[in-house]
Amino acid sequence: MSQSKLKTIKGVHPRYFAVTANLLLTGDVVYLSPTGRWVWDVTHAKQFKTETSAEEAVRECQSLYANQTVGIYLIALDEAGWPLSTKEQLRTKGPSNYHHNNRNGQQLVANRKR
Amino acid sequence: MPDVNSTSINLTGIYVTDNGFAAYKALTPIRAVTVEEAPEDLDEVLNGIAEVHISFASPADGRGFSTARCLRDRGYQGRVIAVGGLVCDQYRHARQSGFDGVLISQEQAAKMPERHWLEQANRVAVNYRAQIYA
Amino acid sequence: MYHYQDFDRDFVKDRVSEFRTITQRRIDGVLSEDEYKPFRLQNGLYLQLHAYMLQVAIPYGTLSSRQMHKLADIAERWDKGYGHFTTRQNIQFNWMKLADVGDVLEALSEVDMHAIQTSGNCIRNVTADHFAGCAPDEIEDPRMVAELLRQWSTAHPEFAFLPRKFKIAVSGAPNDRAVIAFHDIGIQIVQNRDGETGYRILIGGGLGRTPLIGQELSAFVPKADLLCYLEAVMHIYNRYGRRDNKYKARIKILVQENGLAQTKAQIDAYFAQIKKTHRPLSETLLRKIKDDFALPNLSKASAFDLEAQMALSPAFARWAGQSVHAHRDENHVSITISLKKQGATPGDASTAQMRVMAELAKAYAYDELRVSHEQNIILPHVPKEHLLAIYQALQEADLAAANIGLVSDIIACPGLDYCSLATARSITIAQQIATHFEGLKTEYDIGPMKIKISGCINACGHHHVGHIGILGLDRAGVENYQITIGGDGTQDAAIGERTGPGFSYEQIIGAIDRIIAHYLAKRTGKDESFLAYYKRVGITPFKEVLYHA
Repeated sequence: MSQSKLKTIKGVHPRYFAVTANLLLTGDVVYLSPTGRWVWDVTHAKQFKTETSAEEAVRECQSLYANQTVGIYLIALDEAGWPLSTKEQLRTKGPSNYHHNNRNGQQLVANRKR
Repeated sequence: MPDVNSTSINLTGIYVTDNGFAAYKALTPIRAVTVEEAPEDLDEVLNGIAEVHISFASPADGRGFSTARCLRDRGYQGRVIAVGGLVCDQYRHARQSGFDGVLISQEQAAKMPERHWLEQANRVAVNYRAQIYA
Repeated sequence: MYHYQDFDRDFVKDRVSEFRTITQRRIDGVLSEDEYKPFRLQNGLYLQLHAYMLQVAIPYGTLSSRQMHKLADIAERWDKGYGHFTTRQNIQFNWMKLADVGDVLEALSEVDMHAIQTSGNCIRNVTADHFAGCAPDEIEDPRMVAELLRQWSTAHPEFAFLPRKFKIAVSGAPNDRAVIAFHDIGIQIVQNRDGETGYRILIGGGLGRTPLIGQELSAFVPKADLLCYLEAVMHIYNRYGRRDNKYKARIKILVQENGLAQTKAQIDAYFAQIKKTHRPLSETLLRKIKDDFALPNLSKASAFDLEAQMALSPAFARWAGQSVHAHRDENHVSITISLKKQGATPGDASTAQMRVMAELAKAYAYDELRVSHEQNIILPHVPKEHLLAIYQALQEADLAAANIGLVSDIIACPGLDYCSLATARSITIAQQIATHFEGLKTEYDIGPMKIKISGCINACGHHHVGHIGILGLDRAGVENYQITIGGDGTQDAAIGERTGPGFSYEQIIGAIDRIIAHYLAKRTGKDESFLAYYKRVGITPFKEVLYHA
């Protein structure tokens, strides 16, 4: 799951890294916040400056949150704190074939055109 | 000493059957049959063997079920025990494939207590064979 | 269709209760994800990108109106108001919450449905010709043997932890509509020289990263021997199939590496061993299955002049021309309801649409529906006199797209919009292709065309057997689409040939347009289909227009 082997995504060097997971009970896509909570909005995620520090946080979360979350891993962000890969953008925004967002009835991310 | 073909035979642990947990008492002689061995070649070898151990490397590796099945097809009537990586919700698969019981470690027993295995023991009689075959 | 007996019902109810118990252990933290995951997968529950996905088994694609209504209820109550019909003739719900799944399974069990063995390394939902029981060319309804296989493979103790998943398809006719040559086992119902009905068995077909056409394992297996023979096949696969590499673990690789002859020798030897003691099939069950799959008591419908009706309404004529298929009874037809309206998600149906289809089946079509592997819904037995009423109801429900078998009738897997395995989107490519050719108004001129799109190498979208296949890959974070041409999933099975380097998300629609424009310009006439044209000219002219224009 880790993208550590990828130096660049779409030709862009990652600027920040974030820790992401799905919640065990709902499957919701969530991100680790600076205060150590899980939040839905990637723009509220803790931005790690180095991949190593994010990897360390992943390991820590795996021991702390193994029963609240599934599949904890790190993702690469651009300078605006937005996921670089198409897959992670879709995870954040919801599927592109419908105009609904990825959590029941709630708008997670301000209608951000990317 | 039991007549064993391999040093890896485990002679301690908890023996799980339809009646739940019991201290394991070996029936000798024992032979470990690996999933790489062809049961078709073992008729002679197993003559007089009281107990066969078939080891599961992990819950995902279901070869042991076929090994047990094939031994039974060939008429082996001794005790057949599953050892190694099975989890309790595979108990019914083991019993329905020809195993008499499962040998587990104390650690496994701590993780999967007796009542979990007994739940699955209740499902051993439930399968489609009775409906499909005359 | 098969009606559950007490045993089937008790079995499913017990599995619901087992699911609740074990899931609660996961929620309580007694089980780790690693320990829980194989269990939830055996019960059809995946974790996808945005949520859990529940894949509900629809055995050989057959549904009653009551069952379709229940699927609608589930979509409304626990999902976002729609469901996705798949190439496994199943339905998947994309927005499940773990804590709700026990209730969803309970709801399914009320209509004799479940999600057992729709994932995991076991024998999956058996698929069959979607025109089973109504096709004029059929020898015997393949659902009878498919139902027997469903029962045999459900909770089979020996085959629940195979090297990899295992897919079986059955066709009852010489014209293969069930893609049997691309399954782990394909079963074709045949008659031998003595007029006895039995089974021709293909083995080792498959798509994925190593697409292979199934080879004939046996030209004729007598009916009484089938389960015993398949036990032998599965036993040999379970023992000798590779477990060191999941990409080489399907039975097709075993057959490829050891050769058909050696595999067949192993199977035959084991078959001989178990045949001696194999119990005969229950006559009671066989009789019940035969009765359950008898044709409905077909009405002696009043004469209906389809031709005259078509002459009256061009729109109806266009729809009927694509959606209405010959039935073995001259007063009846089969109808394909398109879930491919141009611009819509292939295979998706809303709650309201599911209910309309259920009501139409109940009112006009002997209460039966089918899911086709091409992700459409079929009303198998329709008296001709009801065609107009059905057409009008479908129009009102936005289900009357007249595009069956045409360029917009695309198979697409969920792709990167939903699937955690995907490397690129496939749904949105399908949407764009469909609206592109609708805008050009060339669909009918292009004629028979099967476009199939997969969002990763696993090929759930069957791209290898598309007349045009599209495979979405990931190139350093960028979606990239390879094209294959000339695939064929019928009895003339062929694997599509790759044209060359892939195209970007932005370029792929233009590339498909160039392929089709070339075909339209160069074909001998409208009666030379795309596939026929490809067979005549080969891949080179297509490479020219794709890479050197």
